[in-house]
Amino acid sequence: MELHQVIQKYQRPMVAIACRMLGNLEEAKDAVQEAFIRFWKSDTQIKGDPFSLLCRILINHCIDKLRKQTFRRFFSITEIKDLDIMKSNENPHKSLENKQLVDHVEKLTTRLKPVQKAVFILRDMQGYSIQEISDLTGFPENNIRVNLHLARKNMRKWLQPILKED
Amino acid sequence: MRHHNIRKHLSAYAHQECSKDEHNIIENHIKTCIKCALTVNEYQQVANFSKQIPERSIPSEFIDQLKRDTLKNIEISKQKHYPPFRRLAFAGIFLLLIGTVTLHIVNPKTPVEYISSSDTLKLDEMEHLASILCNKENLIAIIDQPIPIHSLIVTLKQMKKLNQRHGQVNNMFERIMHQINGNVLQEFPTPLSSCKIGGKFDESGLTQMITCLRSYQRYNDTITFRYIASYYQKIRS
Ligand SMILES: [Zn+2]
Repeated sequence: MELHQVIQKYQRPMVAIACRMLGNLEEAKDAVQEAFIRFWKSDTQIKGDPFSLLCRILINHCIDKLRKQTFRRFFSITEIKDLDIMKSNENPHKSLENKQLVDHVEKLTTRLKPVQKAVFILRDMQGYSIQEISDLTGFPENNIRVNLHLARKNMRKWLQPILKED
Repeated sequence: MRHHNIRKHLSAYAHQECSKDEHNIIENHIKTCIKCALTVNEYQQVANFSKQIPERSIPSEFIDQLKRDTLKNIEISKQKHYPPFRRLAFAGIFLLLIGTVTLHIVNPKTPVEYISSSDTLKLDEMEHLASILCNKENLIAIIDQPIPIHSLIVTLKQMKKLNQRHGQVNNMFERIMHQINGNVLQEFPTPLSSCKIGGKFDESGLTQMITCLRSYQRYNDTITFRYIASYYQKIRS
């Protein structure tokens, strides 16, 4: 397969992952481009399916990027506002629509540490199996399980005010 | 398995990722343990919400543009591919620059002795910090690197020790702070308030910074000092 064919074939799923990791299309575009360039520079012979390798480069690049940005993201003003709304509502889950709740869950993923966020997105949002995630990221399965547990635990903790008790 | 051990497996149980044995054990446990049953239910609710998060739609024009840009960039980097020795030379000059500035700032007498006396503090970490603190011109180049918070804490602790022994580190960093025209090196807004790292590099100032970094460490393993530059630019303009 030629490079332009590889790009053609994989850019869409890669943008989808990068977009979830980084939160917007523009940054996703930069990250995917960077991944293709690194892939090209690595001089890999394109045999079989290079998707795993491309994802590995992309996801690790996104994690690096997030590590540099988490400080800014975690404390973004909009998020704090949302949390304030949640606190001030006596019974928030009743007053919030399902769509708002889903939006809120998505926003909360930006608070996860980069590796936790990556495995959470791949497993709980994209639905990849743990074995597949290991292939796509290069992380050992055990490491994925631990980070996944931490991510879910954090999400549960942050969402507790809006979870139903029945 | 006891309650305490079981809790670590509840999220996997809620997502049906357990082995059959684990599954059975947990299933039996939550019949009698209300707390765990509730937690499983909460994990399931979170799972349900996470599944519903919609994929962003990606316009076809965006995809076309991406492909064009990527191929163009690869063409450009083919032309700009520096031979290895040139890259090495760049790295050398950069290191030399940092090294010179650091040596100038850190007590030139026996800096290595102090720095290597601790088994956790590494020379390059100290250099990193010093270069961040002192070299305004190179700020932009350096701020983008995430620094592990634990090593920063170790560095600050080391500075505290040096302070007690000499007091010159204190003066040195205060001079630097003065140079960047302000006492705030970095502001950390937290959901409740904001705490500042910076200010005086004396005993209590350093203690405060360490406390602040420790609380920030709960959210992050590394810290990126990209705010120094913007702060510096703010006070400058
Ligand atoms: Zn229990």
